[in-house]
Amino acid sequence: MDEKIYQNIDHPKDNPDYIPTTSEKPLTNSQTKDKIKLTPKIILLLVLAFIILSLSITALIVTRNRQQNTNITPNPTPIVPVLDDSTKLNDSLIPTQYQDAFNEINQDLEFQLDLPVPQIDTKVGL
Amino acid sequence: MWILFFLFFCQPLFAQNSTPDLFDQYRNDYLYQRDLYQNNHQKYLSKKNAYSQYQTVTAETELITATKDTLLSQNLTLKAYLMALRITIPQNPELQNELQKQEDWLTSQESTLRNLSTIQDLKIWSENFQKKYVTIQVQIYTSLLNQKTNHLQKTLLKLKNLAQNSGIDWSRNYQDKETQFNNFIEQAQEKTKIAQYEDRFNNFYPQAVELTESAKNILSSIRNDLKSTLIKSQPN
Repeated sequence: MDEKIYQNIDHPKDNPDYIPTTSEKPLTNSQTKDKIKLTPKIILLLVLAFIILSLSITALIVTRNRQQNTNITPNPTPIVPVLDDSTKLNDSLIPTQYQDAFNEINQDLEFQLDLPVPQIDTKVGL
Repeated sequence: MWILFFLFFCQPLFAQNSTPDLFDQYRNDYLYQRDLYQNNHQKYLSKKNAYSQYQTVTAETELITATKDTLLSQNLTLKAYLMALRITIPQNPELQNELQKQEDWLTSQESTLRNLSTIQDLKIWSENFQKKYVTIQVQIYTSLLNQKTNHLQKTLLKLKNLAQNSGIDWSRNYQDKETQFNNFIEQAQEKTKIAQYEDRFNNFYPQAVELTESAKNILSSIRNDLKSTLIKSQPN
């Protein structure tokens, strides 16, 4: 038995003989998006593009801020507190035979004569 | 025999210890005299105030007594100070002699002061003392500086001996520093020759002390260098 070709006359697109006319409207954006496939490569590219864009914006903002703050005086460098020289090296590391000599020298360097000069009022009797 | 042995060998030991003990004794005496002077000075100020307020004969008599007491204790304080200072500079007999001369002058003034009986006499004495006190102060601060520089020079010698004993070449490593040290000491001693006013002491001591501190810093630096060299050189 021969197959009878079915033709729906209500839907012309289903008609294999149908030839579209030039006056038909172009595809919309949503329609084209549907056509682009979101492959992993494209997702990666999009992510990288987003990162580059955000970094560029950040760099732009920072550069502008720096240009505006050029007259700010620099912060003083913190000064390391000066330590007593004698504390830099532990005395116990000195060879034993020289320790007494160093102790004596340390005492000599710290010595102050404990004899306060008298404060005399030279206007007494005047 | 044993007595001779004792005298021969034990005497140097006593002699070594005698100076610090003597210094403590003289220092304590000075501090005691200084307290007495300060008390007398307070009494003098109150009597002077009373005399300027009331101008009475009694107030005048009390003022004369208080002035004499203050001046006498002032003399004793200065003498005690000079004695204590004199034994700290045994290495400088010339300076010791100068201090001794000032002590003698102060001793001679004790009887003079006791014989003064009027405010006018006391005023004349005080005017003379003001001039004399300039010389006394010059001697005091010159001696103090001498004591300081001598002490530093002794410390330098100890450092040199230490370097020699530990096999470190002093002249190659520390000659420059020694020269700098000597320059500071010389500059400090030069300060004592500054011109003085007739009735006012031109104080050279603070500047001289700054120079001795620079000399002391050089010694500290040598000490630290020696220390690190000896620590590094010892076998592990």
